[in-house]
Amino acid sequence: MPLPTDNQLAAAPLSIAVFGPGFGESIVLRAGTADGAEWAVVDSARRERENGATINPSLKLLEYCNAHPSLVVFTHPHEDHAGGMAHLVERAADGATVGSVEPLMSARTPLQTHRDPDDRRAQRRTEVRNAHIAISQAWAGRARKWALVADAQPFLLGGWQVSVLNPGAPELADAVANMEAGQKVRLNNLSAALLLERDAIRLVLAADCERAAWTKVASRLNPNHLRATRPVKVPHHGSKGAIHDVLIRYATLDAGRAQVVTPFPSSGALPRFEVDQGADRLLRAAGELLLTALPVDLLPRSDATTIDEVRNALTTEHFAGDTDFAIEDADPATTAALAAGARDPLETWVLLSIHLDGTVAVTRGGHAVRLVA
Amino acid sequence: MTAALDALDAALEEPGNAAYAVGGAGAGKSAAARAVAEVAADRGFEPILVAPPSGAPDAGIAGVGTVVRRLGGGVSKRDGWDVACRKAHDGLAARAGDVVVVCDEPSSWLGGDRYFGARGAEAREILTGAGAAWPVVVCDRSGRKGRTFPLPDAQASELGEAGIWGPTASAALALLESGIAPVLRTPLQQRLAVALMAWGAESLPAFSEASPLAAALAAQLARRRHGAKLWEVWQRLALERLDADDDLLKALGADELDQLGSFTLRAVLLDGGHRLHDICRRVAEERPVDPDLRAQQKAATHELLFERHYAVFAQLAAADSAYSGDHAAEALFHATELGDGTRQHLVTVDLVDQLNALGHRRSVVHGDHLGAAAVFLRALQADDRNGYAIHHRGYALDALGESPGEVETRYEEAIELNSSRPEWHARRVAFFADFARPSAARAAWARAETAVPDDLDDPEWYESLNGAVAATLIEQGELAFARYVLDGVPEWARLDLHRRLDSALRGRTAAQDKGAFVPAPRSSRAWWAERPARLPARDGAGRLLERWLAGRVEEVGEEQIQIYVARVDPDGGEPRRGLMRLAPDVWDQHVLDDVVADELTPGRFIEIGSYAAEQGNVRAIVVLPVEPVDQPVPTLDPERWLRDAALAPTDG
Repeated sequence: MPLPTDNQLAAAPLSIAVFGPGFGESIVLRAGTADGAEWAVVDSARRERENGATINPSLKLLEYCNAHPSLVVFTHPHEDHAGGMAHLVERAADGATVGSVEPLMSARTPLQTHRDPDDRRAQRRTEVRNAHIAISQAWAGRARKWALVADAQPFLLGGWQVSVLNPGAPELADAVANMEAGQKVRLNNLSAALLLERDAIRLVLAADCERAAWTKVASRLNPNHLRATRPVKVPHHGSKGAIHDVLIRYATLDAGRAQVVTPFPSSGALPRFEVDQGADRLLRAAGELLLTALPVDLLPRSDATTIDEVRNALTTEHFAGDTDFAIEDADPATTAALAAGARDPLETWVLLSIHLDGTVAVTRGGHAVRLVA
Repeated sequence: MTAALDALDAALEEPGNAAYAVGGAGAGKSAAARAVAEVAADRGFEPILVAPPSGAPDAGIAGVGTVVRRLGGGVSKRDGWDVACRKAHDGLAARAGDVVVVCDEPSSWLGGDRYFGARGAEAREILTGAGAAWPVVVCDRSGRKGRTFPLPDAQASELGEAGIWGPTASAALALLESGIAPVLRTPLQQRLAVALMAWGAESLPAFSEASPLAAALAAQLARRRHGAKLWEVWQRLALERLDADDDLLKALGADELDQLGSFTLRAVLLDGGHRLHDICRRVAEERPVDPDLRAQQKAATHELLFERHYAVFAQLAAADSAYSGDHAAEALFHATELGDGTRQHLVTVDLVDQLNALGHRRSVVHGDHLGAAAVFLRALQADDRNGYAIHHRGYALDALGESPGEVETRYEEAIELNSSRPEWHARRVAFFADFARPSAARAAWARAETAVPDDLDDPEWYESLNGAVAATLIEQGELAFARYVLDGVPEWARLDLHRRLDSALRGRTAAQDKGAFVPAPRSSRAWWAERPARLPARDGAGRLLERWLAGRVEEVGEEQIQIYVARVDPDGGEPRRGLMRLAPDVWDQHVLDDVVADELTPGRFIEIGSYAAEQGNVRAIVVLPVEPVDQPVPTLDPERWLRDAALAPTDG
């Protein structure tokens, strides 16, 4: 069974299935209640199987569990979080709450696409636009609106309080002004990071927030507040630029803190595995790292994979005498398997089972890897 | 004109078997039709000249309307098309002994989309086909075997005929003497060639067909101070769809022309006083010298033509004349062209399909979906069971991104009335897909599949349905669904569109699978070239380009820019592909364009060159311009459903 099973999902008061099928990220949450369970889904990611079928693993899981989420969240308008979002919104329960960063939903934003059918990015931007259309139409109809901003009213999922850490209202206002002035805006820094809390248990789904966003978050919070959270869905696919002391302090080892990374893009660009890059720093922060999708066929089969073993899967070639223009070889013969297309997207997940005593059990899909130093 | 009169004789001798006066473009068919009508009248018959706006979507509909009105019968909107056709047929049959039907080029009634083309074909069949028991003369490009009377080719010697060439006589003689004249086989070709030379052209276009001659004349006029006024009148005249008369010409400014201009207008362009030839009309439409000025002139001319037709309509209607309806239709046409709702409501037409044709023109030609929505609503107020109006009212709202509930209802209603229109199904599926309702889109597709006729042998049917739906779904990223739709086209119906969509779909799927380099089998053309498109072989210092990479910007971060690159194998092998990361300052240092790292966006295609230098190579980057790429099938922009996103009420 490639997807997490019913039993696995029901084994803890809160189960979080992080899907990262090699391009994109989506998270399904199941909060057990006295009446059964409440479900939520954060972002959407889908990709093709080798047989040509489109797979949206989160949707598949919800269908498999006959679940209709009471909360759907779209953290930010980037294509790797948007693919198939319309299906998830459609899957939501009647009266569900749908959250999105509303000021980014206008057609005036960088969403505007030039409709070049040859441009892969144009297609993905289209998926963002579809997500926004689905959300705006849901708001106009059967869904409750949750405008994602740091001071928004929290949402209650089962016994868990879900609140918005980022973006703050001032940053959003600045961003909208900049967009309207035709300036570039880093949408990652406006992505909606979420904090889940129940009694003493706190955990973070950090979306794609990068350093500037965390600096703002730090200015709003006690700096130690988030470092105590566990587990963490690591921000921005484990990029070095997203690792900030307010959430992840790599100078000090906090052994056993579960960290989940969804690799992006499928060429293996994030996280980077070189010394002092993202994966290295995350290992220094917690001693291990859970990656939802790596080319397991290229790696030694074991419970844990070392970062050196992954490094060996990438080779680097330089133009003679010119390190500025180094080219990392991505020839299909050596690294094609790094592309997630060869993998089953239904196997690209990490399941976190969170118990009320704070313990976290981890289950992995067939293409997920536990990375160690 | 002998051929046309021979055709009239043949028609009178054998009513029920149409006779044809035939000739090519510019042979004088329209003039012949009018001459036949006049002669028929002289012989005591009532001629019914059916000369609706040539090439217009409503030509067939207007033609039937004209016949019904001439016969003194009325058509009420509720009667609809079938009743109008029956009235035309029955009315003519009842008066078969005292009428002569003269049709001006009914082959031009088949324009517009499938719907209006079918109406035109039906009109032609009713008026001239096997069931027509009355005398019929058809002036057209071809006719029924054994019943055709060819209009004669123009003779070169006619160029020398004294008197008929007026102020252009010397140009006519010069042409005759040049030896070019024998290739000028139609009267229109001759007239245009003579005018061209008379207006100072030094040579004729290489192939002296009417169309290039007309284009050359227009260009010649536009260049000359005295010609510009005639060119303006010509362009304005092209907006009148029926015959021109002196009042109209005066209103359009013909009185201000000099002698040569006036002669050219009347003798050359108007063939002695009827309507502008389609070729001349098209040239005027396609060759505006100044588009802004042209737009102003068009609006002013439509206004003038509205006022003219409206005045005639009012006058004739007051006199209870059967001719008033033609002018009402034209007044409405010009009001619709103006997008003027107030004027549109001053007149009405007696066939809902004429409103449909105007709505179609407003929507398809002008892209004015708001105007089209109003026209179709008006059609529905007259006949709320008209499937075309129902569907297109929905489509206009869909295109506007307005009233999704009504869009859905209209699409559904139209299919309930007539489920055999593939494009109606296609638009319904596309609407749901664009509206982010994937399950509804699938249900609509399932419904569409049930509408495929069992004995279908028309590949265009699949293009209209599967092709259009697949294009939308590919655009939406619904790739598996798109694959299912495309695979539903049987092998025998897989034409060029299918191949192009299939190629695009395979490219998109590959892009998702491989996630990296070439997004489609055919990437941005310039990027995937086999050699530099913009980087020069030598740079400004004369250094030789040693190495070249095609690249595409994948990510632009604060710390680095990621670029996918390909080194093309000069021997034609697979390109070597790789990932390059540059610091923004390195980019800024090497880029030759104004696109600095801060302004760079992912998806841009670039070239990276390496020029040989004495001490290390010199790198250079150029950014290729974004090229527009044709869509295999035009689809509505889904962003139309995003406009109101920020208006949704806030909850908590």
